[in-house]
Amino acid sequence: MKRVYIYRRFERFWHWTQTLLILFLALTGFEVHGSFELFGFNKAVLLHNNAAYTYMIILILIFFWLFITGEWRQYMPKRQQIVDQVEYYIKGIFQGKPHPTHKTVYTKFNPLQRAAYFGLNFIILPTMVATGVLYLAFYEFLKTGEGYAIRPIAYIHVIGAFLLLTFVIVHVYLTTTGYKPLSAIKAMITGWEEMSDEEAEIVVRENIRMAMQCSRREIIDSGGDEDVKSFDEVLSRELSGTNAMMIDFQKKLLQSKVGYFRIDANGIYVEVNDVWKELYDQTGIKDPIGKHYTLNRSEEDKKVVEQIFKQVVGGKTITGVKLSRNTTDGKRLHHTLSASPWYEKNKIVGIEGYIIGVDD
Amino acid sequence: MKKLIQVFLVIIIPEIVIFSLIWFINPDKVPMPFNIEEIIVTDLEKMPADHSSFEELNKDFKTGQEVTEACLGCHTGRGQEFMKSVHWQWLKHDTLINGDKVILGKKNVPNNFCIGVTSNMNYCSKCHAGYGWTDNSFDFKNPKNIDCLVCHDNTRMYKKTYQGLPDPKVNLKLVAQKVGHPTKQNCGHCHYQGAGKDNGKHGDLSKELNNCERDFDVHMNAKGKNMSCTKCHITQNHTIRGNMYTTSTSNENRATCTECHTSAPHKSKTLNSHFNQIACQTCHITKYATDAHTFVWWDWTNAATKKNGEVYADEKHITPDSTVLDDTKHGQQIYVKNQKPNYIWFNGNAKIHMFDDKITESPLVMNKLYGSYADNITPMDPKNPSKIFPVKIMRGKQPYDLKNKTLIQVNTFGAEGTGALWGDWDWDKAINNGMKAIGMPYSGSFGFVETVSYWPLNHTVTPSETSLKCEDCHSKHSVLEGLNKVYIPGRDRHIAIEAGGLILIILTFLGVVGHAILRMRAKN
Repeated sequence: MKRVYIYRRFERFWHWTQTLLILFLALTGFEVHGSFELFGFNKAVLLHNNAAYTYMIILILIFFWLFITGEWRQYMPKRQQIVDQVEYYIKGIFQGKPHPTHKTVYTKFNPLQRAAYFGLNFIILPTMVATGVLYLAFYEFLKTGEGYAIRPIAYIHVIGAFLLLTFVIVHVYLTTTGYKPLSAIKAMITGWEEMSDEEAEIVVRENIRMAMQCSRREIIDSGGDEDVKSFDEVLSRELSGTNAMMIDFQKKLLQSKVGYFRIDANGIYVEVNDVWKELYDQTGIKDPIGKHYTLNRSEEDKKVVEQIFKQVVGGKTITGVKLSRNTTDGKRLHHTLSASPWYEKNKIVGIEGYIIGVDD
Repeated sequence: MKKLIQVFLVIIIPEIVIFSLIWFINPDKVPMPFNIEEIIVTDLEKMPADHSSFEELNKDFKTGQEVTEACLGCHTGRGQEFMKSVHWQWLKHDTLINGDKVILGKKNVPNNFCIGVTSNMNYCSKCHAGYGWTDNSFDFKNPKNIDCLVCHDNTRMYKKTYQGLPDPKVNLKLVAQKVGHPTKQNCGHCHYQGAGKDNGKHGDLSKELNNCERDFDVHMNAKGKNMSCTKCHITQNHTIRGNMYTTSTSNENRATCTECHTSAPHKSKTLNSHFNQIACQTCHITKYATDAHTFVWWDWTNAATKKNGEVYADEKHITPDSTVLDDTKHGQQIYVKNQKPNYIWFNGNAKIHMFDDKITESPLVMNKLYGSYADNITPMDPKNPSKIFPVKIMRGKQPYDLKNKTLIQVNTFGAEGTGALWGDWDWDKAINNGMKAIGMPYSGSFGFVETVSYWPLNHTVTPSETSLKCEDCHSKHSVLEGLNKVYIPGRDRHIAIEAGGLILIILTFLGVVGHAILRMRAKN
């Protein structure tokens, strides 16, 4: 089992604030509606209004965040894999098949979730806010002698409330379909989601692929500026840039134990990060820079890495190859390797990639 | 540990802060526009001059007119002033909602209690602020006929009898020397006794008001402000504010709560926001006829019939609070106690059915009170939108002309041989007398039409503890039963939405549970 960082602080904060607000609004709202008695009508109205004002403020913050960060794109519905996802919920899940889609920082939602959250965020919630505001403003309009019928507004508000409750039930239930029943909820509390090793591998790879896409774009955009080509540097630039999505991504990436390396066309290490060093520490390689990648490998492993190096230098990207490394005290450790060509001025000048330790 | 602290900081503390704000902040609270303790009811009970020292009043008055002459001897011009008033004329100029001018008042408006005053003036003028109104020949221009004492007597000994004359037992000299500003007793002398008994007509006016507790009426509470009627029904130059809703057609000259209490009298914004939809009376007058019975039904059909040739009267209690009386004199009456009001939309305008109006409906509405939910939302007169008002509803059956389709004036009061209903027990004679007196034709055949009249409740405002609470309207057991067009949160729901929503939630829940079970089975 591995843990992968998925949810940022603000996301977790607004998620739980929304949760409590929606439940509290439902509780007080249905009391005002006459479904049961709890606080008393008077108090229920006051609390419902207060919660509504609070929610409106929180919603403004959330929407501001969504649009500033570009996160809103995650909510745009897409048709791709929607059938797979439906099939998974009605068939695959019972056969123990894996989720057809993966949760990453960049694509948190599967196509069904996208559809559901799009409906929630961009249809139901705005409707509830609009009808709620009309409800609150009713008396002000009435005072001017230009009132309006509150009945249809109230009906829409009630329909919205029922839909929200339905959403809550399904939403809570689907949280149990993660790696473990409570994995998803834990993730929403701590930010780190539990996954199987394979899943984690895929997700981290996906995260890195996205990050690399960003960094490569950066490299190409900078016109091959020699000073700006290392992965970490580009990543740092991204972080200090406007893209708030990247905030503490690097840190989390490193906490995921991802080792990064870059090797030039001659097979000499140009750059590795601390995690890489840590992973190779027990094999006696403290500082590989300037050394060949076959350093301290068994004959068997040498062949495999040479094969991989050739393929990648030839322009191929490989992902998730399982490799092993020998420690100085004779133990055998394992990691997965992903690598892609390292371009400079549209020419392959080496390879870069990352490794993830799979020994617990 | 670090993670726990982070979770605490990111989730738990913000939620606690947010929800304590939601719980404790009360943006609904607004300061009262006035401090109720600081309200001072000005005391006008004392007269500026001691009338007992006046030579003019130190006489043995033989008639009321002599007293009036003495009054007007000093209070010059007051007679002319008073003779314009409703208390004298029993008529006033008013306008209908369409702008038509009408002249109406107690003198010419039919009701569904004793039907009408004309031809019965010997009796009805007991409550006229004048002397000797017996028939159409009464001189309304003679100031000597004014009865000053009925309103200005402060001895509480003055009484009027038939034809509006003072009771011979009254010591007019003493009364005249002790005149003063009108008290509750003066107004109540007539106004408590509509339809002949306490609470009879209005249901919210009885002699209990003279000396009542706070629970009965906060304003007139004898141990509190002990306000007199004229504190609200402000009077200037003998013109009294506060038109009777049942005999006026326009929303003018009202005595309103807002005069003192403003249009935002509560400490809660939400309560204040009800101002445009709910009349003050709706929440603050929750019961009527708590101390004495009020009439709710008067069916004249069996009046003047006898049992075994004898005049009879059978009184039966239907419930502890309601009594039915079958008798020769009235036909059938039902009177009740401890009533909860009915509620209607009302914008202050009315259409009064007059004797010469054609009857086109049954039950016939004697005073159509205008108002509707639509007129609340987009009011015809934005200053006076329709509001929900509490009313007492009076129903009954009374005679009408079968051919002319008009209501009939009946001569009810009179001695045997005069043709009055209660003298000779003969409908035809009584109707002929009555119709002749109001100058209307009578075809000779009559029937009985069901009638209904609405009596907005304005008195016996009780303390706020006993006023309507939110749940009294905002619940399934809402007191505003009949008012279905207005949407009241807590009361109203759309059956299809409720059912659909509930089914959706149940199905979702079952679906989720079923899915979970299948998953667990698959796992095993």
